[in-house]
Amino acid sequence: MPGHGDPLAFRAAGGAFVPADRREEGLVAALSLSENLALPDPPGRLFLDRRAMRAHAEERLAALGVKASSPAASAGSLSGGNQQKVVLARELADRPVLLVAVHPTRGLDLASAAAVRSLILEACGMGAAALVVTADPDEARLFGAPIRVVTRGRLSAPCVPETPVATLGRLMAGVAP
Amino acid sequence: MKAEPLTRRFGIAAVAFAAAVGVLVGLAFLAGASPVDALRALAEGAAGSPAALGETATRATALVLTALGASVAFRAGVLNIGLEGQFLAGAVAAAAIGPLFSASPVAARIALLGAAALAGALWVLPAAWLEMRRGVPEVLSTILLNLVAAAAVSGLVRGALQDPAADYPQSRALEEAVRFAPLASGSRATAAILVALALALLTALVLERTPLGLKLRATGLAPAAARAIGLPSARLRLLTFAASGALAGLAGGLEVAAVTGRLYDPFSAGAGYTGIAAALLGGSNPLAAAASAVLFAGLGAGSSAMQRDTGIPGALATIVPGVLVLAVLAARARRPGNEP
Repeated sequence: MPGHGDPLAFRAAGGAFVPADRREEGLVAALSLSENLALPDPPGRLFLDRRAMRAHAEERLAALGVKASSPAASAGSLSGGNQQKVVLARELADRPVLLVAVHPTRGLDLASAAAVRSLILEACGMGAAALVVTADPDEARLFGAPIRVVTRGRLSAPCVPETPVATLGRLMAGVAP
Repeated sequence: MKAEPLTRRFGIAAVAFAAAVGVLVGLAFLAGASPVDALRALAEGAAGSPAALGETATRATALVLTALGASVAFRAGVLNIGLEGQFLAGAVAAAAIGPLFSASPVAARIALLGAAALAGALWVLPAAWLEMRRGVPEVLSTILLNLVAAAAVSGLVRGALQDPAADYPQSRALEEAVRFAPLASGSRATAAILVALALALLTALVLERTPLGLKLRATGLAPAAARAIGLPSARLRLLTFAASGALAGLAGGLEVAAVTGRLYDPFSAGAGYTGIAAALLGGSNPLAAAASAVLFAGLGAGSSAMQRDTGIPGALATIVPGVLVLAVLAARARRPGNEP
């Protein structure tokens, strides 16, 4: 995303974004969880409202089932699955209109991946539209929403979520189904 | 740069300081003097009397402010190493408008220090523009602007700013009433050092305790994440450039208003570069950087006294800050999040 489009305008219009590279783009690993969850608009007029930041972080971490010792722990100290939950906690906090998630479960264990998917579906239940980019046809079917396959820069016609994986695979390979 | 635990920071500082003292003792041997005498002369020259403390405070003012300028920049991910040029720009501004004032010293000082800070901020703007619009690394542009600033000072004190009553390449002197007066007799120290130390506290407060500071730190620690999260990266970088330049410019203004009273050529003894070293030694933490700057100032004042009393060339003591910085960088190296 950096270098393309305008992230600020995207966010001002109600967009939320889960980047592919959570360590480099999703979180500031060296900052604490409460600091990460306070971005991009930290509370406090003159000075940071640390108490509000901590309370917000505790609430979000509990709501999303993040396993962390405390909101003061650094984001980099968490496991990949918990890091991704923190990214979603931040991105979904303001009830986005559109959530764009790129490879949101890549590299996660099965339980974390399932948790991340249900968080995305939960956001959709609350009125958000979600665009999920994945390289895993099995996962694409799990969202129960229309699937489009990108092959060599071209977008396929929408497929129903029940489309067999083999068909999706042929589309991905660029072979006519 | 990631904030280190305080204990670790002090550990590093202690090891580095021991290394520096060791180097100094070795140098004293090489110079054929007694290391004990050398260290005593150094300590007394740095802090042994009101006059020595005044000398250290006088030298520290510019170093603290340039160290703060470097710290702010490094923490927010801007590699401004042109503090020397911004220092000179501030000195030029102060020397240019300073002699115009004779009455109401408070208003005069505020005006000339404001002009100095503004000049420092303006001097860094070409580098900011080149980096943000043309992708020119600020490491190159800021250091090149140092050379431009030094040449400009050289030209100005022989041209537009030259004192018409003197043959030397120097500007007109500020009125005595406008210049900062010593706080106490028997010491050169003026209120300038208090201004610098107050700004160290303010800088630390802004970086660590305000919403803006958190945004700046996030931008410096993870530029890609900051952009993706929705921080106004371009605006934050521009602000960082300007604040860093303003601090260095203020250092130049205070040097004229509190120490030299005028501009001459060459004007700077490298305050901008030593400030960078102090920022590195302090891990870009404003308070630690300011403490490092005072330490370097003390070494400078002490080494002059050491040369006078023991005959050890004072230049040898200038090796010490270099050793300190290298020792600290070596101790910190290869720890994730520890850059630059």
